[in-house]
Amino acid sequence: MKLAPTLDLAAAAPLRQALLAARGQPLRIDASDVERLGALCLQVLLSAKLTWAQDGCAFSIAEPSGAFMEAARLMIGDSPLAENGASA
Amino acid sequence: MDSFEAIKQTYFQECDELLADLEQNLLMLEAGEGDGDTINAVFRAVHSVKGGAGAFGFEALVAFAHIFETTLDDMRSGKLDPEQDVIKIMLRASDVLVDHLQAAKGQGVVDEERAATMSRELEALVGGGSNEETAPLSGESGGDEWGFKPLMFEVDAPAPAAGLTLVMRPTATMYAKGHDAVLFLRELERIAHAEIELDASALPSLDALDPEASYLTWTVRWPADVDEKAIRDVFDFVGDDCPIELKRDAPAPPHQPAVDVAAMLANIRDAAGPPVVTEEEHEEKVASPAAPGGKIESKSGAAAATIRVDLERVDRMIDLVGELVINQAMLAQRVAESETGRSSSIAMGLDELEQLTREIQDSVMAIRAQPVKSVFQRMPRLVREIAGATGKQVRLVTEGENTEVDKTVIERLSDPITHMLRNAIDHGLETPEERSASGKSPEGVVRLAALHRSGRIVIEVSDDGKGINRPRVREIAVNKGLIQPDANLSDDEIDNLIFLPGFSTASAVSNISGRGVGMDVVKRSIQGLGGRISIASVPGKGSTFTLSLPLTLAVLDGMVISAGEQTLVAPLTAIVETLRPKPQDIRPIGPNAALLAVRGAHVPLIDVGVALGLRDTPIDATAGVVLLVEGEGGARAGVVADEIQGQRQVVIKSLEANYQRVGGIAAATILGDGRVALILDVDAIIASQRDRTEAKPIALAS
Amino acid sequence: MDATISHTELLELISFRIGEQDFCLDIMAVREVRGWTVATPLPHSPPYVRGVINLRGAVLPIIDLKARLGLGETVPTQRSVIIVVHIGDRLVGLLVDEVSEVLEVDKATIQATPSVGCDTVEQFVRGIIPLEGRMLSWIELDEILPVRIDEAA
Repeated sequence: MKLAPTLDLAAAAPLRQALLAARGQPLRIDASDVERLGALCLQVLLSAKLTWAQDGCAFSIAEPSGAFMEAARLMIGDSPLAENGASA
Repeated sequence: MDSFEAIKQTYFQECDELLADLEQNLLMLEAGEGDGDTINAVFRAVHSVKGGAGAFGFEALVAFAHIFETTLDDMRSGKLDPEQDVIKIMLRASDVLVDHLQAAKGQGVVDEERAATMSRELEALVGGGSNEETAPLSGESGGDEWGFKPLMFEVDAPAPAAGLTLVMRPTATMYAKGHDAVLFLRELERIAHAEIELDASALPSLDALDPEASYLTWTVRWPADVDEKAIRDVFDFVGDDCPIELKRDAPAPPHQPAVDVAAMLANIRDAAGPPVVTEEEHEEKVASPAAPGGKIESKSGAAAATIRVDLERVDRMIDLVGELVINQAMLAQRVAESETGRSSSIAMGLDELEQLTREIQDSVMAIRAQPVKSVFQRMPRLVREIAGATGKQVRLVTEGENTEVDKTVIERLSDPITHMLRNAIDHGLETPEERSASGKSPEGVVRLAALHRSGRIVIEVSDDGKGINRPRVREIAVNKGLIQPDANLSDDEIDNLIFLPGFSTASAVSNISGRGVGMDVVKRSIQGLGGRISIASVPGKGSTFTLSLPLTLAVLDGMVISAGEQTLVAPLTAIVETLRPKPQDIRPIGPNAALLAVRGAHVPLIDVGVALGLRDTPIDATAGVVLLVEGEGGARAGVVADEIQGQRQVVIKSLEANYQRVGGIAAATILGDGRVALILDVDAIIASQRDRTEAKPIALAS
Repeated sequence: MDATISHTELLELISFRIGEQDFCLDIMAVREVRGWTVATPLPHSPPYVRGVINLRGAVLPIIDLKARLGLGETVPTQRSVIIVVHIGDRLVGLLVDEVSEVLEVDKATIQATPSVGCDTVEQFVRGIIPLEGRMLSWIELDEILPVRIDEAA
């Protein structure tokens, strides 16, 4: 699964839908194209990560772009979402 | 996406207002009338524009606004004097900011060179190059070449070595308005390096998650002292949509940095909604020690007084009320024709209905009435630009900007005013040298005023320049064959020659007034709106253009007349008087024309039925009625009709919407019987009489 | 025209009568059909422009289609109707003698207008449709209105 370049307000609902559709299987998300990551989409990603953990499936974010990393660092602190591979 | 677009539009609207205020306040400062509040208002305007621009990703706008803001910040902190030269730069900077905003709207491009020059000029104002010392403080590696300046270091404040903790709780509303927490965090980090901690404990699992709700809150800690105000300013733009708590804690509380997100997510409970801070709580918290929170309160207080309504909705309402008026009239007419019409209770009910309908119409029209301010506000920039291009020194004085007029008129005021101002500066005002030589102040004054006069709006543009060069105007008019060389004209008549088609006062067409538009075009466009324009001039003292327009273009006071089988409406404003001529007042002239003697003058008689092709031969004027009309050019004529049915206000309906322009007809309306009646274009009818002597109009072949 | 006609597309048409001839219009262009009311004549207009009427607050021009097609002036009767159509962004009323029916035809049955040496036919008839021993002329709406003054100038 590949993330869209702009993850803003408008992207949050579609992202949630796309993730829900992929539920129940290990997921590797390609974040290489991301140019903007907003808090609403971060919420969706964090919630997905939690959900996958509850389901006992692998969840990882791969090849995060610079913009993704920077936004994630700002919002999550010094522990970027991406580094922390699967958490199942 | 639609809602996002709507939010963006709201932002643009707000920006237009902010930028108008910005200019207004800068002009006050320039005139030496402003105070600390004015400077603060100027700063806030730029800051708010920047805040929203960040949310929408308008990088160029953010960058420029940031530089502008930095300079203004110096002024706010007293480091930079708001002296005239500085304000002049800022006024030009506000023009560039407007350009950036227009570009963001997709309505134009920014002159990059001009913007870059402007940025350098602004930066040059900042503390004489002292901004170097603040640059390293911006702390992070991000490419912020301007370096946000922590205000606390400039202001001589006591600096207790205490940390500051901010808890921000974004609301769903905030996100819905297009703001994003990540942008605030970025700004906050820019103020000074901070530790950011995310609280995701409210986050539900994916299936229970509302993608547009807000679940995350953040705690930001600055170990060193930072300016509280700078932090609050970051949230200035969102107000209550992102409640914040700001605590200055003596010992910076130890906390675990580097949250393990996985661990954190592991113990997430299916918590309820996002943490909400009630309004009272919030205000209490905001109004903490230094209490700069007052701004937020006043903002929400002011917002209650007005609402923003989509113009289309108002227009729809105007249309509907227009139909209601017509329907009411139709009903009244039918009842009057029927037997029941004699019943007094029905008649009374109808009277009341009519009263109410009128009141509704007036109220709805009042909604559309707007102060001319929105047009006037665009003019200072224009004046600056023309002044710059002509090398003249100009001060623009505006009066009566709260004068209200219907929005249909407002929209059409801009062009004529623009042109009159261009004309006043380019042709009216002298160069600074010429002015000094004739004992005037080198700075010319152009006055733009609006006022109501007898049911119309009057716009005056006057200058204190050299006045109209009458010998020159006369000479041009003679050379162009517009008047006979021996014509005996009053000063006033000579002045008004400049409105004649084909007249252009500039001996060399300048690129200011030039542009291929003469005053005749201005005059015609104003006449098209049912307006008049005239000029009065005193040599050596200056000229005054006076423009008058109806207050609305949606309704019209008309005289309902009949000609042949048809019912027509003549605009009341064009009618001087109505009379039933005596046979001895009518003087035939030529084969088929006649003049009417009225108060010593002779005016041509025009049979309206013939002029409109409704009949071939004119009726006997003594058997009908004559409307003495005056065209915008002052030409008079006697319009002969069969009879007058009465006066009434009619709703103007365009013929062009579904058809096209029709000669001799200004528009249409719908009368009480439900039929369409045509509204006469009095000027065209007067002109048609002139044409008829030359060539009979031919029906348009297709 | 044959080349452009697809073989499966159905076209919904409204058919009407002017004098002894049958015509039709693409029903997508029709907004409503209403009874005849006397129009207010417009000065300086071509003879086929009957004038304007009030259509729920809007001023609607009425074109006498018979006159427009060069078949003489319509004498309105009780059965005369006005077909209100969209032409570009304008609403226009067409005065016709009577409305017949709404029908569906296969686009393939539409035939190109044969050359009959008549300008009005070539200008206003897009094609002809044979139907149960009758023939419908398919009206081209785009050219029905007179050229706008501002465009002509």
